[in-house]
Amino acid sequence: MDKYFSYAFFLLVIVLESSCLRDIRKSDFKDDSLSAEVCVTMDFPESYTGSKYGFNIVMRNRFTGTETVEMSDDDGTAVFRVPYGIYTASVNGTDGEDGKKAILNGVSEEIMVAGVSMGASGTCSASLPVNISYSSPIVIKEAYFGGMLNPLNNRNYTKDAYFILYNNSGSDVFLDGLCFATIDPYNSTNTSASIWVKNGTSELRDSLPVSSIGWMFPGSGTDYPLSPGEEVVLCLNAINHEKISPEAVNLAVPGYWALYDRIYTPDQSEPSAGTRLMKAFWKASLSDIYIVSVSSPAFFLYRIEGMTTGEFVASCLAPNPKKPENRAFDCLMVDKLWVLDGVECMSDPLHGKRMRPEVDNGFVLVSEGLGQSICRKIDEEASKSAGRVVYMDTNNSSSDFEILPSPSLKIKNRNL
Amino acid sequence: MKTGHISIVLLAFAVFSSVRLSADGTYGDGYPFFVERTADFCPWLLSGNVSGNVFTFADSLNMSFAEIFRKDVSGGFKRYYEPERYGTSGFRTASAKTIGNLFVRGRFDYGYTGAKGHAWCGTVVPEEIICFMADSVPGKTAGESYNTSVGLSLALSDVMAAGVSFDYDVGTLSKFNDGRNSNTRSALGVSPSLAFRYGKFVFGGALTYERVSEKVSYKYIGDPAGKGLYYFEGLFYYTFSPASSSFLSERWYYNEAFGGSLQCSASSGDVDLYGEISLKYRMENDYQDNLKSWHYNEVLGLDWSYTGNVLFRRDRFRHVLKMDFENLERMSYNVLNVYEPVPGENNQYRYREYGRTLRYASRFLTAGMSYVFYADADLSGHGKWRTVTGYSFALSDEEFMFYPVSSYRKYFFHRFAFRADRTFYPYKGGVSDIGAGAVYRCGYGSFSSSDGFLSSGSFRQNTGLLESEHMYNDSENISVLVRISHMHDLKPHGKLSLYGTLEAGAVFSQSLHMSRRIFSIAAGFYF
Repeated sequence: MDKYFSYAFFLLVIVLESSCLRDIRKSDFKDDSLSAEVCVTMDFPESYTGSKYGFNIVMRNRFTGTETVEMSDDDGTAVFRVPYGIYTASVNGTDGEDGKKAILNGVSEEIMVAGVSMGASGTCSASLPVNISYSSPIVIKEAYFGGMLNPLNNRNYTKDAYFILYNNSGSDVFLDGLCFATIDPYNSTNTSASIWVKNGTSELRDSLPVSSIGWMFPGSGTDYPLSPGEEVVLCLNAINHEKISPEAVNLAVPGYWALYDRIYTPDQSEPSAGTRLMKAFWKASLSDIYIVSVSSPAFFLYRIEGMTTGEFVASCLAPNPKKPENRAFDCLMVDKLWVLDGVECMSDPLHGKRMRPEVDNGFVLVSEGLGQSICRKIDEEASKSAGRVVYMDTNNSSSDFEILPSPSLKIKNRNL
Repeated sequence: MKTGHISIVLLAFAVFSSVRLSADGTYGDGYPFFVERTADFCPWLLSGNVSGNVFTFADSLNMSFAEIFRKDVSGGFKRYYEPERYGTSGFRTASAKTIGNLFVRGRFDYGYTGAKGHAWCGTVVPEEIICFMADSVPGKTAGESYNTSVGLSLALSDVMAAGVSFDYDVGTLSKFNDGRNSNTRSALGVSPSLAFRYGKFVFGGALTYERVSEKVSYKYIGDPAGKGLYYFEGLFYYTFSPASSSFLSERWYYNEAFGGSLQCSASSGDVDLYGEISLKYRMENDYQDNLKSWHYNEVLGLDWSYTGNVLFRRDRFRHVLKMDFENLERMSYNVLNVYEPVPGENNQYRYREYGRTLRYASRFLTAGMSYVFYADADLSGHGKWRTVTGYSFALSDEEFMFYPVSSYRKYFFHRFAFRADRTFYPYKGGVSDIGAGAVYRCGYGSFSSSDGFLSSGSFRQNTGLLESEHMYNDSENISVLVRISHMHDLKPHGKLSLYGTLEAGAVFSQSLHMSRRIFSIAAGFYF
């Protein structure tokens, strides 16, 4: 009887602890089936003579957004072990001393980490081209565009969008001729690559597409100075929005700039007295108002170099690859070297990038309708040594920006 | 029990051959009150082989029934996918008949369910799909179900019978506030079978094919600010997609299963033996749209089970020993897709697959045994007293893998049940049945342990759901149920009878200070 009981118990233990399917597919649980090694090598410009050691290279999974960070060795190479998937590798760092600091940014093409892409050594290899850029004297300090629920009618109110530009340098800068633009496409999308890519690749073009309207600060060249630490406000609708929604921002402040043109945007709110007007030098869209995305805009500052606005429009107008037959979707292509500062916002970390790494190597994740604004972080070290507020500018909004629970002008302009 | 009522008992059993009762003997799925009695004595009627009924189902038992029912459930002690309260109204009809050498059974169920406080309802059958999408906002839902089952078997000779059974189920589910989902599920099952009789032995074998498909779409009509969908990938790991005014997300789930079963029974004087073993291999393919162009996930499954029944007859007592064992395994693979241009085509794109990676594996095992005792049994074996004492054990083992992170969750459950039913004959042509039962359940296990931690990206584990499930699983609770039934003959010898059933029960969890209440009522005709 004891013998039979032992056999029955032994059989029960085997049954409870065994797992037929798991045993059949045992190899699927091993690390080699779940992940692979990837070797990423930074490709510096020929002019670069600095050290290649110590840069943090980030491998980001295209579908889950998970990131793995490894430090480069003396050859500028980092080895990763990551789950199978599609990745982009990026690097963000600085080289040189204050006053002549170069910003090194780079993002690779999509790296396929899967069985078919394995090299003979069993390790996947990828190259990461590195671009060198420099920080801008004038930066986008804060942006508010997502709007907030209007308690009077339970709808999201978004017309009080604004942007604050700031002189981050130690010298005067002039706003004359400075251009503001939003990028195409209007919203971030979940396709694997932007439509504005170089032929046959997933790499973004060397120029940024301006959508809808081209805006510029007027002036002869020295009419509108901005001192170090000073800022200007650009509004879509320069009115007191608190009269429409108690949760909105009062933008009826003399001295603010309005993205308003009587001919191009006649249906936009008439700016209040004392507001200065931006100049619209080009328009493609058929709409009579100018709006920015409430969920995921990407905007930048640039200066036209070596040509007039007329020549710029004539030579740099491009059809939209998605709707090449419709003139209303044409875009002005701005050379990346003209760009002073840019910020890309996304509503989903899995969406594709629209800005080149030299302009913005990261993105800010925002949610619409929560009354939040995005604001540049203060660079404590630089501020201390300069004796004034200096904001972070590494051309990577992922690290340069933070989310404010409430737009700064809402409290500042209340009861004005 | 009178002969006419015996036939009702066996009829109900024959009709509900696809109903599997738990081995610990607790009440079935709200079907007519005689069903579980019949299952004790005629195990072939509950098997996956309809052919065996030709040799075991007496033609004197031909009968049909139809009933309407209403069931209400409410209370806070629930799984995360269950509504706070719901009510189901419906209609059931079934029939079993022997015509010469032919045995026929059929069943049709219809149910309409309205629920409140229902969230995470991304599939018609909860937890059927591992990588499902759902939203977290509770709301009102409504669903319908249509279930049809038909079985035919023919005695080809004195020793051989052949048969086939078909099952077809359709279910729908919709939520009426953002995120609004609309689900439609259909399931088809076919099972051809053979049975052989050799003296006191009956052997049988059946093949099984099942196909289940479900379509789900989510959209938002109102202000989408702050809302969105959760896309789960196992063990509550998910990515989140915020909603927008033009948001529409659709998925199709396709599930196929191939399998078979073997049965054997022996009858010798005072002892009847029965055993059945079945095996099913499942393949599921999930698509992100309704055009099968984006194949995002694949699931493999292996289900095997064993059922055993031993019946002892001695004087006016009947002893039934029942055993049940089931092992369900699933492995879910994430399919790597790239949205890329089609070579040689202008402005054409496609999703191309680049392999699969194991993401989630699970195993659910249950084993149970119960002892059914009939006292004061008449010659046909159905007694005035029936008691059931049962015990079952369950193991739930899950693992989620996303290199370098592995997460585990394991639970053990013990379930002890006891119930007693008493049958009365208050007057000629009437029979009443009063029963009461209690189940004690306790569970223990790990909340979720991980090797490694995902510190970036949109891949997160929903710790809120993990916690609420842990509180539910890692607790003790007691269920009590009382049932009162009465049947009245409108025509003699059970040719036409009217019956009604009232059930009331509750589950209490002292540690969580929560409960859940069940009330159901049914009325019908046997004819």
